[in-house]
Order: sequence, then C-alpha cells, then structure tokens
Amino acid sequence: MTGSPPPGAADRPGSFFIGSRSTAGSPAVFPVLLGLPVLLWQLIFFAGPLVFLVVITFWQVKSFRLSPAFVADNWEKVLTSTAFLRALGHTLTVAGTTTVLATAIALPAAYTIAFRLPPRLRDFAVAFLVVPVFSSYILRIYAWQVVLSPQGVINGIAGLVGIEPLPLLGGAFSLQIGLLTLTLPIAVLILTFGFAGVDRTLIEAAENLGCRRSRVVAHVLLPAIRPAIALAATTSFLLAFGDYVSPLFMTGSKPPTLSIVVVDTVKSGSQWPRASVVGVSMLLILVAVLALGQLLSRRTRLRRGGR
Amino acid sequence: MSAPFVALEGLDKRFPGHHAVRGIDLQIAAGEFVAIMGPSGCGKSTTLRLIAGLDEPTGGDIRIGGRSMRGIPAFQRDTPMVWQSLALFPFLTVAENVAFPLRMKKVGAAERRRRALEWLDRMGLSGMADRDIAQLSGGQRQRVAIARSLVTQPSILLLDEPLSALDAHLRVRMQTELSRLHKQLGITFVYVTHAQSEAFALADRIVIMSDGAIQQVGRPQDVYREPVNAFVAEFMGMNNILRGTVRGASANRLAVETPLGSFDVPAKETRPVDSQAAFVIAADRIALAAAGAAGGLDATVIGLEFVGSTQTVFVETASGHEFRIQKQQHEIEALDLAPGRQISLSWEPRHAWLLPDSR
Amino acid sequence: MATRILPRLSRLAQHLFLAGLFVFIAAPMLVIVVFSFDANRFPTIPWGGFSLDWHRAILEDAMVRDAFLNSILVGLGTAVLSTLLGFAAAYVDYRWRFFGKRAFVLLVAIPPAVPVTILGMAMLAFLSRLGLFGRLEAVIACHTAVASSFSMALIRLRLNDFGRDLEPAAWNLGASHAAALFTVVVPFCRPALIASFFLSAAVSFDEFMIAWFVGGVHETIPVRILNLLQGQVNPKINAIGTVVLAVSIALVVLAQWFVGVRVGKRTDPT
Repeated sequence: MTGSPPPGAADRPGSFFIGSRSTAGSPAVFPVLLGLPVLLWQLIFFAGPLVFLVVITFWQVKSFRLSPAFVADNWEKVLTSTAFLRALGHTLTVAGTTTVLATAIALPAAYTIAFRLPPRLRDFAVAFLVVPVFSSYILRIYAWQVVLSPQGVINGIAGLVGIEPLPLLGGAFSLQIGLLTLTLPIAVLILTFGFAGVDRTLIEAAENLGCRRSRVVAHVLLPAIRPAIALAATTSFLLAFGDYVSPLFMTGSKPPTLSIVVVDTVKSGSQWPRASVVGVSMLLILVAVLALGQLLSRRTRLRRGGR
Repeated sequence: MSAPFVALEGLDKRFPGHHAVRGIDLQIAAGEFVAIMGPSGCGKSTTLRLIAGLDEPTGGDIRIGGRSMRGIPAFQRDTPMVWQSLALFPFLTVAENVAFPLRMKKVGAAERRRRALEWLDRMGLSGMADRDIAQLSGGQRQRVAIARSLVTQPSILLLDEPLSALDAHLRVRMQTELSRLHKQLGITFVYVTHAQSEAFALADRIVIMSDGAIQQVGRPQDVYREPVNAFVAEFMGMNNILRGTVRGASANRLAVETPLGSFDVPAKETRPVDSQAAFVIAADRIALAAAGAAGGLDATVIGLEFVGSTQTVFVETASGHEFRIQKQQHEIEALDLAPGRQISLSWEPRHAWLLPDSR
Repeated sequence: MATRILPRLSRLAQHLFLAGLFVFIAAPMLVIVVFSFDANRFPTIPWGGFSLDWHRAILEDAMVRDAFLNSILVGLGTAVLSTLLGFAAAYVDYRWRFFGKRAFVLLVAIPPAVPVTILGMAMLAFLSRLGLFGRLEAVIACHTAVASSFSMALIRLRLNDFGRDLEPAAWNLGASHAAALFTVVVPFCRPALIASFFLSAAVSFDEFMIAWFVGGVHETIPVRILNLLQGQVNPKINAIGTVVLAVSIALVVLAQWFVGVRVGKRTDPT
C-alpha cells in the first residue's frame, strides 16, 4: 500500500527519480544517507532476530547450554509431539472462530457506520475505534476478568436478583470475548474504510434499476469490498492466532495455545531451540494465511477484469 | 546576433524508452522574449527543465552568459522558473513565499521582508503579505509566483505554461502584465506554451518543436506566413496544405499539379520537374465568390464557426479536399453562407507559400 | 404502510447493533475507571463507595513509579527515533526508485504483523548475543523497529499530497537538496510528523511482550501490570489502569487530531 508511487507520478515527464532520471549535480549519496539508517535498524532489530530464530531451530542444547549445530532434531521432536499438535489444533480452532465472529459482527457494524451515520458521527465512530487499536489491550482483558469472574460484576448483579453464579470465566466463551476485544475495533475500521471506498453511484445505479437494499448489499456491496473483507479476516486471524494475553487471563492457559507454549518453553530456560521451532511454525502458518487472504482478494479482481 | 546570452549546443536528453530532446541548437539574446511551442510531449518543457538544471542532459551543453552549465546544480544556476502548477509553498505565508529565495541566499530577515514587500507592492498585492496561500485567488497566486521568481533580480526568467491554469479573462490580463514586466526589467524570458495567442502576443521570436527537435525559429509573423514544413504549417493552424508534382519551373515560379488542378506557386529556389512539392494558402487569404465564378475552385460549405467578428468557413471540394477559410463577418455577409451551399474559392498566386521542406 | 415499517425497523436494529458493539468496546475501559475509585478491595457489585486510596497507593509504590518512568523514557525515545526513521523511509519511498525498493518498504512496514510473542522471543535471543539485552535502550530499539511502520504510513500518506513541483521549485529558487529537505519537505510533513510522534509513543506505551522479553529487570508500566495480574488480586491495578488509559487515549487522540481522520470524501469544504 505504501510502496506504490502516487498516481500520475510515473507518467509525468517532469517527475524526478533516481534510476530513471537525475537532476543536474544531484548527490546520489542522499538516498543512501536517508535510507541506510532505516535499513540497518530494521535489519538489526527486526530481520536479524527473525533470521536468528530460524537458525537456532537447528541448534542443540548441551548440558543446559545452547550450542551451534545443524540438526533437525528439534523440528522432529516438536512436530511429532502430541502436546504441540494439540496446541496447534486448539489455536487454529480458536483463531478461526474469532475470525468468523469478528468478520460477521464487524460487517453490519461497518455498514451502519459507513452508510447510516451522518458524516460528523461517522468520523467520531472511526476516531473512537482507533483508540483501542493502539491502547491498553492488557487492561481491557483484565477488566473482562473483573466483569466475568465468579465474584465479578455480572455475577454480582445476578446474585442481587437471586441467580446462582455462572461459570463465565475460564472457557471458550470468555476466550472469545477477550479475542474479540482485540480484533473487533480493527476489523470494523478496515471494513468501514472498505465500504466508504465504494463508488456511491454504483449503489444508486443499482437502486435506480429497482434493486432492493438487501439485494444491493449482496450483489453490489459485498463483492465490491471483498478485498477489505479478506484484509479484515486475515488481520483478525493474525491477531487472534498470535495472542498471548487472552488465553492466559481468560482461560488460565488451559488448554494452552501456541503463544502460551512459546512463552512457557522460553521461561523454563533451556529449550530455546524447541520454542523457536514453535515460533517459526507459527510464522509459516501466518505467511500461508496471508497468502490465502491475498489470493482471495486478488481472485475477485481477476474475475472482474475478465468481464 | 551579438554573443548570445543563452546558448543550447547540441542539447540532448534521453529518458529510458524516450528520446525527449534530440540534440538541439538555439541561441537566445540578452533581454529577448523567446517562446517555445509545440504539441504536448514535444520536449519543450524538458528543454526548459534542462536550462534550469532540473534534469541532467545526456549530451550537449547549455551556456548562460558564456558559462557552461555542465555539472552546475539547479540551486546554483539562478534561473528561476514560474511553474504551471505555481508550486507555491502552502505552509508559508505570501511574504514568506516571496522571500524564500532570499532566505536561501542567507539574506537577513529584515532585508528579506523589505524586498518581499517591495515586490508584492509592485505586483499589486499590497496588504496580502501575511495571508495564507489558500486565501488568494488564482490570479493573485500567479502574481505571488512571479514575484517569488523575480525577487533575486535574476537575468533570466523561465516560464512553463504559467497561464494555463487561469480563465480566459485573467489570462489576457496576466499576458499584459508579463509583457510590461519584460519591458521594465529588460531580462531574458524563455516561455514555454502551447497557446499560439500567448506566444504571438508576447514573444520576440518563437521556437517550434516537435518530437524533440526544433522545426523552426523566427518572428511570430514569419513563422505564421512562411512555415518551413507541413508540421509547422499545420501546427500554426489556419493553413491549407496542397500537395502535388512539379510540372514546370521558371524563374521564381513553379507549376504544381495537384488533384484539384494545376496551380502557380512562387518559389525562391527552383525544383526539378516531376519532384514532389507542397504549398500552403493561409486561411485568411482565400477569396470567396458565388458558385461557378471563373477560375475558381468549386466547393460545398460543410460548416461555420464564429469567433467574435471572425468567421471560419469549412468547405469541401467534390474530390473530398477540405479547406478552411477565415474572413471578417462583414466580408462574407453578402454570400449568405449555410451548410450545403455551393461556393467558389480562389487566391492570388503570390499568396501561395511553397514549403521549403516539401516532404 | 407495511412496506414502510420494515426498513425503519431494520434501521433501528442496525443502530442498536452498532450501539451494542460500542458498549462492548467501551465497557472494559469504563470498568477500570469506575473501580479505581471503589473503596472495596475486590472489584464487584455492589460498589463499595468512592475512594482515592488506590490512586494514593500507586504514588507510594516505588516499583510502579519506576515502571512509569521507564515507560515515559521508552515512549519518548521510541517516538523520536520512530518518527525520524519513519520519515526517512517514507521520503525515500516517495522520492526515489531503486532496485529492491519493495523489499525495503516491506522491511519497515511488516513488523506489526508479526506476533509480539515471537518477535519478543526472537529479539531477546538475538540481542542477548549482541550484549544488548536487559537495557531500556534495547526496548527503545525494538519498539522503534515496530512503531516506525506506523510512522512511515502516516508520513507517506501526507507525502501523497505533496506537490511534485514543490521540491524542484525549491532547488530552482536556490535551495540545495539538504536545504529543500528541511525548508520544504519537513515543514510540509509537520502535522504527520507530530501525529507519528504521538502514535509511536502510544504504541510503545501499550506494548508489553517485547518490553517483557527484552527489558529484563527494567519493567515498563504494561509489564508491571502483567506481573501484577499474575500475582494476587491487587486493587491498585485499577488505579494504575486509569492513569495508563488516560495517557494512551490522550496520545492516540492527539495523533488523530493532527492527521485529521476522515472517512470517505466530503462534499462540503469544511
């Protein structure tokens, strides 16, 4: 998204790019001077660690010390262990459920924001949704704990009207509450911008042709924002799949998700290579999911182009 | 011409997959107003950018005041430009915009302000100094852009289609303003435009470019009356081109046989018999008469266009050749023209212009 | 008439649904604020009466105070560095074309997409080899690697509106490339730079996994919260949470203020 030059940049003979053109006496050191620190920073503090993570999946632990090697032992041990496979299955199920729930809940909400709210309120709704994306996730999970716990707010209210305490915390329900807290704001935002980007004349044309609103939504709107739906879904999956806080506080790590496995393995001290195998496996799964999301949004584009 | 102030020597610019400027030569005298014209993509804007140092030539050289510009970066050239987009800095006030070049020259703040205000005054923008650019009208912005380019007292001003964003009324006013500035300052103006009216109204000489090459350089009226080739003749508009074969040549005269008949064409040089020749008759030099007039060319009126008191008549001969004829309204009222009406055309042989390059 | 009622009901349902969603998102934040002023030790219904005890208690808690101080240092450092790097990346992307540019932009853009658990673990493993582990500088460096993605996006978006002629015009008027960068490009980007500063501060202020892994004994405030949560129920958390919420919401709101979030195009010029 950020990588493409602004429209019209390439076809203007007066634009100024290195490689295709240069201004008289323009110092070629300039892009290097600006770009190199960024490049180095991201290599050392982002790419380096991830590459190193892949490297240590092949290392060995000898007498509690990590030592360089090139063995497939760790991969073999982890990938064949039932604990890992169970955690993997659990994590995929949980993240998949969150993805479906988040997308299903976010779609009508985003539709309402984009088409039903007056502009001022629409901007406010977006500003409101941006806040939780960048703040206080861990606190909000803690708040849900307070609300859902056996002595918590909901059961407190229930007790006042004479209902027995409900086991709200510690199961799939509370876990999804936590993960939706994480995913819903961003999913609604992505879909809102998707809806807002739809050409209004398209909708008006369909309505002029006598289409009912529900049919316009199904046949015009949803196909038009398919890339946004794919992005919202992959983002939700990505967040839910890698999350550590909700499984920890909403289910007490039982059963563990892959993130819990990673942290537990690391904190136990000696099994860095195995933790790395789990981490790298998670990354590979996420790459596959992102690729799938790309494919889903691209296929629409191809089909539309063919018409 | 005495020693030129600006000299383009074999100036060449290639972009990947595009030869924008093909080794052009051009000399511009100090204080001259030169307009470079041509269709879009002809290389006129690139030429201007090369002079300003915003693009680096791939061949040839530019001399300004006798000094080679090779390797001299744009910011050291002192060749200010007025941009089509105006390129005013939106985050600076009007006065700060005008003072910008002085700030770059490390002129003190008080002096900068004084000189900026002076120029704003001169451009009729007194009292606007501390406004935002967004608060100005199109014409006012144009004046700010011009003031900003002239505040350093350069000896040359480059203008890249500066008036194309203005409406017709403002354009004419700014034209007058530019002309006045040019006379007052006495510096060299190089003006890129695709509008003939601007070039004709302003320029001492015009340069016609096409496909990266210069086609013709000359005074506006000379280029208009005596185009060197079919491209220039067509670009200047209102020229009717006839092509044919030379059938006879005498001193200062050719007989050219065209599909419409044989015509006498004055010629400065002689041409071999049977060679190809093309000549033009300017639209305002064709006479109209009632159909069937002796020695006339019969044609049918296919359309009329009015611009003020001038009327352009489009006619077509039986063989399908189209002519454009330009007349004052009162000259043709008697003919009672309407589409479909038959008419007869003629011109004096001395008004035919043989294209020196008759390809 | 029946045909009129159905769409109205559907509209009402849509608005109610949206309101429900907003309550779901806002509720946790409200709970924290409300119970931070609760005299009870355990946050539940009924409310135990208004009290400022817990807010007072966190002022006296040295660990919390240190954590706040650390978070402010890390947030400030991240905000400055991330804005600098994000600007450089956005400008390089805007201005030049070169081989490997996609990879370069991706390298800055992608870090937020990697789960922080894995990122934290990887950073700890790698930085401990470089001897950078367990220092606030390391947390700043790692937070910057993540936050610069948001900075780049904000500034790149602003540069989309930067007239292509403005920079050449500055050179043409006597500005060297460096001078044009500081007198034209930077001032033009100022709103986005300020927004980037606040947003990357918020990202850093909110991040706990990387800070937890890489920071060692130096806890930032979310790490302190994480550790408090794993211990006994501690009523101080609500009070800390209220302060943290106030700070991070203020940062995000300020960031939005400077970029001026708008959905879609407006017909009116306001």
